[in-house]
Amino acid sequence: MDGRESLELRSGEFLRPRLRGARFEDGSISLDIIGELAALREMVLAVARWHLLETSSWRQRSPRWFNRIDLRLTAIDRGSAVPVISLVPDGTLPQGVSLKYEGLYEQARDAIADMIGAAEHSAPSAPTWRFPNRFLAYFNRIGRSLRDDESIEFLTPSRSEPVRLTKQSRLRLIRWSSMADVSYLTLRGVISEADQARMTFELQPVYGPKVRGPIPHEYLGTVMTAFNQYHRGERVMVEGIGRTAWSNRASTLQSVHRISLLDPLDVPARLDEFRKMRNGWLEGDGRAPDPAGLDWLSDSFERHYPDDSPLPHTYPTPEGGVEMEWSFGSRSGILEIDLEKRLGDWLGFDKESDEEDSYKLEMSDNTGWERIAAEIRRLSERH
Amino acid sequence: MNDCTLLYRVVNSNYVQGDEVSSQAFRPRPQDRKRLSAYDGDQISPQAAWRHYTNDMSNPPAGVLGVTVSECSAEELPVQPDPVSFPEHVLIDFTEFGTNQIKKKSEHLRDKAIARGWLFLNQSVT
Repeated sequence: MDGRESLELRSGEFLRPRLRGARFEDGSISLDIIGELAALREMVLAVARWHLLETSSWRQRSPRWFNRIDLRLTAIDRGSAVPVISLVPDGTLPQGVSLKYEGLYEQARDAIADMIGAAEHSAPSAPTWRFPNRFLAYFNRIGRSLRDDESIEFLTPSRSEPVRLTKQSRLRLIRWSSMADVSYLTLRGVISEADQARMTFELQPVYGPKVRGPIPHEYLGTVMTAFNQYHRGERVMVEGIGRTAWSNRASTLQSVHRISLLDPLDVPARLDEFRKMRNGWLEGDGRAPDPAGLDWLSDSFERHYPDDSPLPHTYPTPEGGVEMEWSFGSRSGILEIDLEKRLGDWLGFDKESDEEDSYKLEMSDNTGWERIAAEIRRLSERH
Repeated sequence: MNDCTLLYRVVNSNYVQGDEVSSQAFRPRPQDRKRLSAYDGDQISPQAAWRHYTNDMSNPPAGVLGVTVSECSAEELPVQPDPVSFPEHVLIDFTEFGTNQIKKKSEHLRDKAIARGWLFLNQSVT
């Protein structure tokens, strides 16, 4: 079986990628390729999750069932090697739920195949209507062991001909992954330019390239206040739709929905400052905080720390973590956060009486932040 | 060195936010084995200490703060000269204390130093 029929899906199958090339003629698959199929699984799940969040009211997180449907390698057919991948719900998931959402994974699979097809046919850029370019970064891992004479063919039900991932098409996909996406952005920085005649402004984000955008009439006052306080570092938060570039190219905002002045202690803006840090920042030692950890902390703090609670001063730690410090007269609180383990180490104390309270706490959900907010309330009230 | 001698700490710019300074600026790092390095103010000026400390001008320290030997003694932190590293080097010894005590004592020292004010401030940072 070496023709198109070896790629066609049978009942219960999700994908039958065919590995072409001398290396695969005996029907065996090297462990390198197995690792790459694992990356393909991650990509399908990520794109499906993105699609779900884009099209439903679940804006914050995907539903619990999402982790209970998986892609598994269920067989390997011979005739050049054909790994058979199936969509497998775990036994605890009601059948109706599984069937209802299988379409999401199939949409993700078809969209990925479309991207591969566009790259194979040398399209000048990625088809923008499928999913954001950033997901194409998975091709850094998918197909990386392919040699010049090898390819992976994918056939989806909506296609009459398979698409081929080759060394060349893969490089094109990776190149596209760093090209601009249009998405909803929240940026923090200073207003470095304001043009009242054109009603445009330029934002210098705390981290990253400058961004230009239109000034909505209702926010002209805010923009001018921030612009006039530029040298004092007055920061704003700008929310809108814009083009993001993963390289250092300038970005633009097509529309601006909201501009607000930031508290000087705004935690996400302060965390953005840490993104410039490099290993060795403290006397040649000192680990720079991990960017993904900063993303998590920024989001988690914004989401769970109450708006009306006093903001902390925020500093990096030599171990690559973050320390938040609150001070109310003789009372202080220090929260050390491990970005990797998402654990907090709290110490509240009175500098006069030496009375203290300390414990470790889980910071990965709202409960840790609620406990910290309660501690801060207590410290500030007693003051 | 006597009770009134000022001990200088060169403060990393990441430990400064607005007018505040992290208590970490007066806390030994894990690799310091609970001994905090400082400069003996009887032997060197704050500005010279800053220059001595600063290797990387792309990320210069914010400035120099100081506490006296007697302020360290009040926290039960002995101060020892350590001229092996360089002649003006001294060590503020936290070895008798656990993590929480070290955090609290570092904050006390920070408060004393801030009340005294910056002894040298790198203008390019502020």
